[in-house]
Amino acid sequence: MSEVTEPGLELLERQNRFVSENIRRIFAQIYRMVGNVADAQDLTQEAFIKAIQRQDQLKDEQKAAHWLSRIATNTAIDFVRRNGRATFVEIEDAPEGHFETPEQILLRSEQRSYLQEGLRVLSARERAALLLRDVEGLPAEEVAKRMGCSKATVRSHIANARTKFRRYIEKRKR
Amino acid sequence: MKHPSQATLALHAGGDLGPFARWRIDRHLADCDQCREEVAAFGDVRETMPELGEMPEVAWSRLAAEMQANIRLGLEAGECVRTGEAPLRRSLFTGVRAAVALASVAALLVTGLMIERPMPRTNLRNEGIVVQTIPNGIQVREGGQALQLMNAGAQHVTYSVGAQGSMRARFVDQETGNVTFNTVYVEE
Amino acid sequence: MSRNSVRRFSILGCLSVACLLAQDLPLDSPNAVKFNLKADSPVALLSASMGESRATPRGAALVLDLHMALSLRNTTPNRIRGVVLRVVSQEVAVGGKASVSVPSLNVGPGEAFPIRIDLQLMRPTQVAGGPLVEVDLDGVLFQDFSFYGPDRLNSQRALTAWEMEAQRDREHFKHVLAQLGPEGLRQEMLGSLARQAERPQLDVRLVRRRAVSGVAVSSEHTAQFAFLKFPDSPVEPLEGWAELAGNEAHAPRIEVRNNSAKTVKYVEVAWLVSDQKGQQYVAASLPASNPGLYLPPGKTARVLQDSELHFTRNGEPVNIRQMAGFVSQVEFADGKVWVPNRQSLESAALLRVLAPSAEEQRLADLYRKKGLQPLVDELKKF
Repeated sequence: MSEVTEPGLELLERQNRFVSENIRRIFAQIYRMVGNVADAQDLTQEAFIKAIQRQDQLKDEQKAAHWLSRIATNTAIDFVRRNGRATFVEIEDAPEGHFETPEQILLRSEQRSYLQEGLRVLSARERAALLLRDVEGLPAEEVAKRMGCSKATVRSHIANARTKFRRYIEKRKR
Repeated sequence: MKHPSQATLALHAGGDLGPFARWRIDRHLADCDQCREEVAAFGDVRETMPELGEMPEVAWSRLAAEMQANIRLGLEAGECVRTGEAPLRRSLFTGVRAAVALASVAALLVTGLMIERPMPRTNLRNEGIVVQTIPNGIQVREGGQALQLMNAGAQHVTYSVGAQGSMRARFVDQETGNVTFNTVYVEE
Repeated sequence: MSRNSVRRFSILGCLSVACLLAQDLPLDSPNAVKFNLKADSPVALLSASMGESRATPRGAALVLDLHMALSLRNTTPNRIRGVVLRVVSQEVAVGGKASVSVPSLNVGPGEAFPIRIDLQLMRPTQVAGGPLVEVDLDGVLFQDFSFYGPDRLNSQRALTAWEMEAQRDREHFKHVLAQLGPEGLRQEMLGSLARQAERPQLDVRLVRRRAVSGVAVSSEHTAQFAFLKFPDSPVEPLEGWAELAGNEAHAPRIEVRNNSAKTVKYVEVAWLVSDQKGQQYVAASLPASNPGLYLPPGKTARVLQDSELHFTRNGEPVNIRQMAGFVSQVEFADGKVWVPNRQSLESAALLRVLAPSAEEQRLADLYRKKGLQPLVDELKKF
């Protein structure tokens, strides 16, 4: 007798797989934008719920993953816009890593905080464009697709973001 | 010597210029120490960017499990409801998150799972697309970008508007002697 | 039209980077402009120069000035009466496109003719790859009213209407010449030039989407059109309204009836407005909003648009008191076009308000620059 999976269970399994395969990537993507774990967690959950509610998109898994990234980007952009440019950076209490001293962990956290602060001078879309291009390493065309705008607009955001970010870094060094 | 703009140098540092533009800038950089230093400075900043890609120090397994559970709860509780209260949202998902999410399912379902939904994107520039005359020409404009056809120095220009979304300028081209209609249209 | 491969001419040859550049950012000249002509095109591109094209930074934006001088040749055995070029820019994220139309041509087989395009693009700073502008041949009208082209901009209808107006007005001036001699023609030309100089023009700004979502402005009221009806018009305007508020008007809607024996596929109504002093101006043309209009004989249809128009003159708002309209163009299902005859326009005193036809403007300009005899010689060519 062959096993027949109920349609509801099959859907559930597909959804769970979709979440587990993409959750780390999406969390990281959103975390870079908002700079703190709590907001990143909430927004990650929100992005997945939005994506899964349109279940027909999940049939093509590659498209679904790409589309999910786009939802995540826009969710983060909207959040940053609503909350002004203010983000806060938490230095989480975390279990010690196996290969780093506490001092090294702290130094790395401080460096990341410092860079995260620099993102505050950017607009939401400048921040998104910079992170997608210079951190995730996506080509400009892909960044444009993720952000739902033209290549020309993306290049404008990238240029402005790099200029402002550099100005911030140089001021902090003085 | 005219120097490229900061924006252009910033793009060049990231390899974001087209081939001809890149060639032009390279030629300039060969003779310009100042701009070379600028590009190098942009490059230095770009080298620090990957640090922003690092994951925060969190207990990932536990965090991932919590998020997956909350996602499942959110889907089962029904549609997303929009709120303006970030703290309300936060109170459900921060603090003792796992305990609330996993142990108080009934309470969450009763109160409704409030997840802030971003507003749909609106056109903040309420004007939309504009067609109009400008000094010496006609223009179709949206926000800060525009496409303009100029009247090539013609003296007697007749303008007419098509109510479906077009602007037309008619003149006799002084060089060719031909009547010319320039038209800009709103894209349908 | 057969599917032929598209031959692309990149405008390179005459380009010199030195003469392109006047400011610190060069145009990406190898791909600055692409001129698309199919293999079966009735015109060939002989040459193209970019003249004083330049890129000028203005703040965070870049203004690209493209001055194109094209020389085209008629490669068919037929005379060409009009050409429409479609101009698009993929790099500008603006919802618009443009065209350059040259009617009133008289280009014989093998002859060359010039077209100039003066284009400006306001766009973000970076220029990276891809053509800035693409120029397509949208339509060519021949002497026998046959047409070539993809016709994405309704070029066939526009060129046909212009050619019919051109024939109408050339016949008028030829008739004047025949009846009253050269001096009569001179007086007629002087009258035309005077009308062109005295014709009042409004500055009209059109906004495609309303700024306020459905909320009426407090001073807004519904005004009714008064119609001028021409006896030979195949389509009759019945009634119409628009919302007026000070110097703004929107939501014009007009009901028309097809009084002819043929099916109509396009109607255009000329919209006239009067200011508080009674001065009349041309506001806009109102085309039928439905691109697939199919109006059988005896049936009625609505012409309406959702645009918002703002009227000023010399920078000052012009408040609208009255509105009038008349049917200015009809296209039948068989492709034939009707335009008002000159007598109808004269009897309705519209010649003082309407712009002259393209051909009348061309002939008047020829007379102004070169005198009477060249004008007479020109009329004899037709």
